[in-house]
Amino acid sequence: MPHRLAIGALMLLCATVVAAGDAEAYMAFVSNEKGNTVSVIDTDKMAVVATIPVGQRPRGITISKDRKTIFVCTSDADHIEAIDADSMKVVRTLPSGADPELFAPSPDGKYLYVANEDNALVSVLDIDQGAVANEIPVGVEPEGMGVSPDGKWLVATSETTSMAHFIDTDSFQVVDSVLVDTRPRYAEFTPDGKEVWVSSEVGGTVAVIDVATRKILKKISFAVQGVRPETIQAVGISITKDGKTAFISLGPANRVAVVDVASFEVKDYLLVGQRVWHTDLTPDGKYLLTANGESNDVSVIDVGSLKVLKSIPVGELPWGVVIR
Amino acid sequence: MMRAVLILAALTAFAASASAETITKFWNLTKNTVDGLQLAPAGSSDFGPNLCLADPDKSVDYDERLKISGLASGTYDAKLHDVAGRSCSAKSVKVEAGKVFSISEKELSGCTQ
Repeated sequence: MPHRLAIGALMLLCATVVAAGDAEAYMAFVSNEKGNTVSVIDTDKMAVVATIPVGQRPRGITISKDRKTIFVCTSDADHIEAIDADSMKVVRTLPSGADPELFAPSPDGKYLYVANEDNALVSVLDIDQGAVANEIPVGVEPEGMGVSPDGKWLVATSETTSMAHFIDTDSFQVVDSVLVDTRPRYAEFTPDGKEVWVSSEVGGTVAVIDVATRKILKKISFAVQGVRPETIQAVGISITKDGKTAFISLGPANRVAVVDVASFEVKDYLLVGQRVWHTDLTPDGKYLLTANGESNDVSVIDVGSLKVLKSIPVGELPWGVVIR
Repeated sequence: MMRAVLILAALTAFAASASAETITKFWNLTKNTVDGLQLAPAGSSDFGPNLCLADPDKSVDYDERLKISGLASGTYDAKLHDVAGRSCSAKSVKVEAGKVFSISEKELSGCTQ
């Protein structure tokens, strides 16, 4: 009997350890455009645990394939800074071309595709070499950068030209351009790579483009009761790993729209902080974090219940967020 | 000696030219797109032309920058007009030539529509 008790106690202990292991804490890195810092949020504690000084006007922020490095576009410094995600220190500076705003890593982790807003170029940055390997002319004021899951397509949106440019990553040539609504800001592929979703800030819509034919399948519009239509400005997009749900930031409408990817139907509008820019999902898909530019905070949304759980104060003018 | 004087003169002219081409940037952090921005030395009413006309679409969206050539460092009063029809003032805006200066919503006063 004591032997059985000992085994039972051991099993209980193991179960406890496994359960504790389930509660993963992630780190969210938030670029603060005016504060010239990156705030680090522990998603378990739901609090800022570090603030990293970076170059001027940090905006686009992403993570390396091995998830060890955080890259941030420091637009006014005209370069990209690499932050060691463990030590939380800037360890490297990379060239980017002028005024880098948003970027996207290639799936093989070799390149960063960088939108150079001031000179209508996409720079192809070889990360290991620390050098710009190619420059691709695109429309005026490029911003959104989306890469297909297989790495074959890069979509760059140009704000003033109002186009989504399809770039073949073998030739680094623009092979097609799709006219979308005014001031496109962001491009995000669905996980199956069949569609790319492009948000238009002034147009207030999201164009869903079929990648194979480059035809617009649907333009999703938004309407929030009691909110003036001109303040509904679509910017950031996050899509869940299962490809079922998209979250669209609506800027000064202070809402995140929840969209069913299959039907393009808007299911809900979630009230978050002021002027929501960009978002990211925790790797387990449990939470969505939103960078709210005017209220200087990050909202935490529980994806399962679609409830806004918490607001976390960060630096001045939070803009981008990536979660490790 | 004559050669040194000529080189100095050329360098001075180059420096003056570079200074004249200094680009200062206005960062719109008000809540709306601005289509009118005029500056006057602080405390005066000598407002200059609408600087937004230099932008490709004649307006400056929220979080966008407007490039301004030849603006001297100093303290300015600003008159702003936005696409929502508001006319507002911003007092004592500090400008450093070649740098970025911002005007945020909380700095606006006396808005009329």
